[in-house]
Amino acid sequence: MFLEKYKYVLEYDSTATIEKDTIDSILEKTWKITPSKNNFMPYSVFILGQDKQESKDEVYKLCIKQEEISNSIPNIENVRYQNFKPQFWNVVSCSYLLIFTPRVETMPNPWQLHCIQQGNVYDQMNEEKVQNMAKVSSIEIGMFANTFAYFCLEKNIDVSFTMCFSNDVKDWQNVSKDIKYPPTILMSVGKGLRYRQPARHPIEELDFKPNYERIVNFVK
Amino acid sequence: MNPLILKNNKSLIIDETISWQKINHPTRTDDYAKCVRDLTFVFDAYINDLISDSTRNIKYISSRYWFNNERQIKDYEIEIAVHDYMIDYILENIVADQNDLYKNKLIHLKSILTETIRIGPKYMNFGHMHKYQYVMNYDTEKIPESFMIKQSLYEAWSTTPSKQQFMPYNIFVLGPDDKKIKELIYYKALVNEYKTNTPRYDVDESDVVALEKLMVEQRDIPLYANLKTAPYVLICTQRVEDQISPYNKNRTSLGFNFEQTDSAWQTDPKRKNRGQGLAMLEIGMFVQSFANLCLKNNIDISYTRCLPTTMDFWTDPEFSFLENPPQLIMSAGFGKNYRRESNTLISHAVDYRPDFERVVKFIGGTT
Repeated sequence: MFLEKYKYVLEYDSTATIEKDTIDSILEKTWKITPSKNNFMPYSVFILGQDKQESKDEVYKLCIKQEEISNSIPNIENVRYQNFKPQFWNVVSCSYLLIFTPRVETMPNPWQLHCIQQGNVYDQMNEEKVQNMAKVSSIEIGMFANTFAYFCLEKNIDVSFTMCFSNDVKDWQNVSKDIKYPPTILMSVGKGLRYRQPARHPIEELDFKPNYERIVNFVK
Repeated sequence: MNPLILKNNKSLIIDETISWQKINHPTRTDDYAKCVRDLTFVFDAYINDLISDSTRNIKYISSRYWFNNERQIKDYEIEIAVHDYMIDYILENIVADQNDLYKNKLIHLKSILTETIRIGPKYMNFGHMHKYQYVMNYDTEKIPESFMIKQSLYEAWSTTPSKQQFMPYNIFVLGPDDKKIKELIYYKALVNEYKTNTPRYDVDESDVVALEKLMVEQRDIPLYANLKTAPYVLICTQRVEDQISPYNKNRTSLGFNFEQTDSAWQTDPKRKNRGQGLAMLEIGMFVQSFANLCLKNNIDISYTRCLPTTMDFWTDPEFSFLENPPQLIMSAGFGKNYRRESNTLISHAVDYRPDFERVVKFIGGTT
């Protein structure tokens, strides 16, 4: 499994079929080996499969809505995307779309119950502290999503991430009534047809990550 | 050898190499501007690796010859011949009178490049997470080589994806000698745990040693006591980008707005920290990659999240390197004993994760 195989997909091959069992087994493997603070796994992964095109189209609208809000540009599809599609167009053509959200635990395991009786307090079980808990759930979602990406790439299945979407949970009810909290990240899965690289324009060649030394610092 | 000699002769070396290519492989390409660009990338990687005594720059640049398991150039033998020529030219004409140490290093860097062009980069295997177990105490006698830690950090940096390439986080690394800072972190976690949970004791919170004694007696040894013995500790914080790449500058001029560059929240508590969720998510991705690489080398890791996460708790001079509060602490070293061994009550029968179906849900009808 090779994370260096990761490349951002602009459009997936919507005619390609990826068996649900394949995705299910990768998800199960990921669930099994991703560590979690106090074993709570305070997140849900909702999956839209190959038969959920309408829901994926709905998610695309929520991405567009957010880009309009963040950039203060109404009707952004006409302003910005007349000649090409936005990067998150991939949510429409992917085979599977994973929607990660925080989750509040209501069924603690026996050890967690024992610790609660001893006086431990767990934000992961407190509906009112979802915002506070979202920091922990985001870190763990990142761990889960990264591992899932590796296992997909190992099988030559492409993935891409999208963080631009409406964070109003009401907007998500048309996608699924099970979504109770604003999503943290979307992850599209499928066979890539068109990728962001190689660059179409010279300026895209200059889209590099910050130098290693600016991210990792050995304390002196 | 002073890498400045190479730097000062950069244009000459690249021009000579291009001229050689034009004569010896005239039909290969018409796009010499692209050749100059690519040779410059490689040349700069050589210089940066010679300066930093590493191989990471050349490994990174050479990996760019491959994409999705496919080599991106057809005539790779000519490509290798061009790079062979460039190094031969440098050795014979630019650094002939310099010492062998650097000349050999340069040859070694070129061999990494050509090997990668031939067979592809050595990718990381992600099948080591099953070795993860929470460490109670690290071995303080046997310490992982710093090279292994540095290499794993570099690989994690180079392979972890980031939204718009911002990497909005910092990883501060404490080494085996930084015992005092690790102990300070331990006590901050201890006070945080005390304040979060019950019962409370008749003790002055600022007397951390007395508080520790009571908590160990009345509760248990905290899991994060592993910070006291961990050879390496990583402090993960959010980072605000203030050096935007040319590409993102261009996007900004087109009206794109990047939350990763918003620093208003740092000075004004009323302003929303819009980039925090993204930073947390990407920290999770980075540490998972790093964890896998450590476990591959049988180096254990553990996480601590029981921490004060506002800057007012981190004002000690020892933490002057922090601009933003820690969000996650990760320790690394060879484990001596582990959580589940240390307490027989914590078996998988009672301390299990939520069922798969409670975490992962296929939306009705999904096939």
